[in-house]
Amino acid sequence: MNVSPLTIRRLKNFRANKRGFYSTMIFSLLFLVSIFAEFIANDKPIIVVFNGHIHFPVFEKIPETYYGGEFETEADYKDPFVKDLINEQGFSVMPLIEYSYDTINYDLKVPSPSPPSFENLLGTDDQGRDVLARLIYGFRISVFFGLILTILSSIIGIFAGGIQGFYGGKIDLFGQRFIEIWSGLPVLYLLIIISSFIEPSFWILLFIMLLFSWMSLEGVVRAEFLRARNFEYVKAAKALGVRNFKLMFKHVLPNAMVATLTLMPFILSGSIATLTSLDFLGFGLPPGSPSLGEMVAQGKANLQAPWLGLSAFITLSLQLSLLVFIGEAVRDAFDPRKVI
Amino acid sequence: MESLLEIKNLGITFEFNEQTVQAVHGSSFKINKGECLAIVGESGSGKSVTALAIMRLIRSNSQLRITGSATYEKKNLLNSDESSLQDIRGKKISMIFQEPMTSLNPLHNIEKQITECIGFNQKSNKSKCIELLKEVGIENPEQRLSHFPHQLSGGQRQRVMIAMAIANNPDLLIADEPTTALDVTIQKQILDLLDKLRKKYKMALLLITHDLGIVKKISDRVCVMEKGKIVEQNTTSKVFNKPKHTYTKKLINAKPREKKLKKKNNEIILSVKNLSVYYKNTNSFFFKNKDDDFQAVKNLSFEIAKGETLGIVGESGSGKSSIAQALIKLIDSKGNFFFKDKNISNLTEKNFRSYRKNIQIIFQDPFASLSPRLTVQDIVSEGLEVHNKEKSKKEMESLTQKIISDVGLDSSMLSRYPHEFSGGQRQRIAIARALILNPELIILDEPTSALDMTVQSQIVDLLLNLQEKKQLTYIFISHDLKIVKALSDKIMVMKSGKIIEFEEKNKIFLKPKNKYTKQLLGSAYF
Repeated sequence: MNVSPLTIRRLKNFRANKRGFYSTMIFSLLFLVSIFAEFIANDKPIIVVFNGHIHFPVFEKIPETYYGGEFETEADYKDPFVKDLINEQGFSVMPLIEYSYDTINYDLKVPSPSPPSFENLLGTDDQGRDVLARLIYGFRISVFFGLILTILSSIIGIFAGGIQGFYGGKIDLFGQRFIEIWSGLPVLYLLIIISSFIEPSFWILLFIMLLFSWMSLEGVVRAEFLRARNFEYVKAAKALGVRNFKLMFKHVLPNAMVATLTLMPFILSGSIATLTSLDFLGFGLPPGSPSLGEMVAQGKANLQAPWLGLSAFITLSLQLSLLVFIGEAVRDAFDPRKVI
Repeated sequence: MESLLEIKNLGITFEFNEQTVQAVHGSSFKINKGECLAIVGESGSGKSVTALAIMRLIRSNSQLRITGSATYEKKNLLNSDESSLQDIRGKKISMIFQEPMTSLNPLHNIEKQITECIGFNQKSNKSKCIELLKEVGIENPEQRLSHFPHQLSGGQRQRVMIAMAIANNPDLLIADEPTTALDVTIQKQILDLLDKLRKKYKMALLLITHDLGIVKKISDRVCVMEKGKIVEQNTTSKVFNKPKHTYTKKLINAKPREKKLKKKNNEIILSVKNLSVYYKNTNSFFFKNKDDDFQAVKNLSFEIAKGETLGIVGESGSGKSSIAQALIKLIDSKGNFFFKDKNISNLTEKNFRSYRKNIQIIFQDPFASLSPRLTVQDIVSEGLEVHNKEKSKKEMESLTQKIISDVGLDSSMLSRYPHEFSGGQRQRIAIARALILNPELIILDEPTSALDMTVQSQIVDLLLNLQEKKQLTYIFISHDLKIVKALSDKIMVMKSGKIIEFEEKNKIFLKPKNKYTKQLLGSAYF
């Protein structure tokens, strides 16, 4: 690949911001770990060797009858009866944390929410579910939500802003008026109304948020396009007969990319915070799904169990701070005046 | 003569991104009382940094190291403390800058900006201001006091800057390219003013410029700088008559070759009838008033024959560039223009696209006209991708290599990015980009004004060679009469969107008829 000297200089600038660089490292590590959440926190074994066959219960549903049990439903691997059955003709390896986000620990010695113990490292919530497992899954879902929302809203924002900025005139005028009206719509009320007649799933929530979040980038991109369309090299390309569409994406967009990439980490942290606050209010992801916002709400409802609020708070603040630090480093990397 | 400021062994080193750039090394010179010393050199030779260092407007820090001494009244300016510098700056040594548009504060009126330099004696300030403005030749100074910088023209702003600089009767005035951003006629006025004030107030003038014409006219002594070193310093007449250093010779002899006039070719390639360009002046979206529109080009008609060069000269704002952009339909225009008897003025963008390869444009600023994110190969071959889609990648590459060697560059440069090239090289790349489509007409919109004198003449040479080789037709737009004289067959003098005079080159230069043309020719230094 042909790496331009500009890119090399930017990577260098990015690395020079130590805090941002290490934040990126830590965040990538955490994200990588959370992607494999099923292999870290699950109530199913990672691998089962039974009767000479190798099984991965994370990927396949194996009925209890297969192991010689009585029910036709999926085997409950935490049941001592099933464990014994497997150990008779093979073995199984359980993940580090033997609870998934929705596994309820029925063997609690104290009423839930139970404090941290060796069984549940960060305790359980008020329904007896393992807090650490829920944090790992919650981290993953919020990062995924943020990433998808950021990417989609960037695509729409760049496209809309690019067209407005490049053509200017009436398109720009009416576009801006539309955006003014559109951004005046109360997103929260809309979500409350929508969630009253459909259950907001991950994708529906994403779609509704996307309807409004694209506007944050649109303004910046529009401004950059407005500026760049009168640059001489754009005019020169136009004089060569290059078509508008190519002109926009080959010549003008690279200019706008700097502003866009600089904003992206902040949009990402913003969308994570929005999802969390919606979950906290109860208008977010469907009940039962692992979400940091829901855990904050539980912490508020159970002040006598500080491990709930504290773990959610620490996870959230760590996540958002890391993203902001990464954003700062990206901004430094793209700053042409920045001298190491 | 008594020396006023003595600079010894000045060295300035920049450090960034682990690279060291020695901007100035071992420069020594002195300025005597009341004399005019000019520092000349190409851009990047360290002229401006020298001036900034004397004024301590740049100072040593982690990325910048200044060594040597600048002695003024037995004090070394380079290591004196900030408070004693305050007494010298603006009072004893003052400075005017290149760009009058940005060197005045847009939020303060003229009176406030000038009184800032004088002091705090409120009563006498106003009369002093008026006096100063009169001195620098501003009409109606009483009214001007309450005006803001945006209400003044470029020349007037530079005059205000000069008024501020001379407010405290300084011993030394440093003028850093004071006229580069101005039109020729105004250039002359400002230089005359500086010269007059210098004699009246008996102050010394340190003039930094790249224009040898100016130097010859007003300076007593000259320092020639090359790559941060002073290679020659002597009195003006000696430098010009008996230059010693090869670089000085190169600067002085950097005159472009002139085009040989040939027999007339009668094949008209472009004819323009009643061309008008309007700029909309809309304050309101709903109520449009057609009369408010600013007419930049007014009913212009002219013709160009094949192989000819038409030079268009005029001050900024006279509508030269508007013609260029209208002809290749980058802006809307009224009127008809015919390319080889085919009316192309009413074609839609889609139909006009096939004509684009016949008419190409080269812009003024080679730094702005090349996309910084594309390689030279991509930039040059872009036109081929649009017009010759059937060509294979290999063919395109070999064509690009051929054209890049035509403009005097090496084909190994194709994989590099524009920022790795000098201004002259970049302009060559821009020429290559226009040439690759084999155009018949090339519009050159001030192609040399952002370049140094020596590079200018190289580019003019290249343009002349290419014209002979490929039978090109040029429309050459410039405010630099020297270059226009070198390139053109016919010259069109423009003022506020109208043709003032349109004649053969020799007639214009030898027997100008119009008063404005005479004024224009008179103010240009050859």
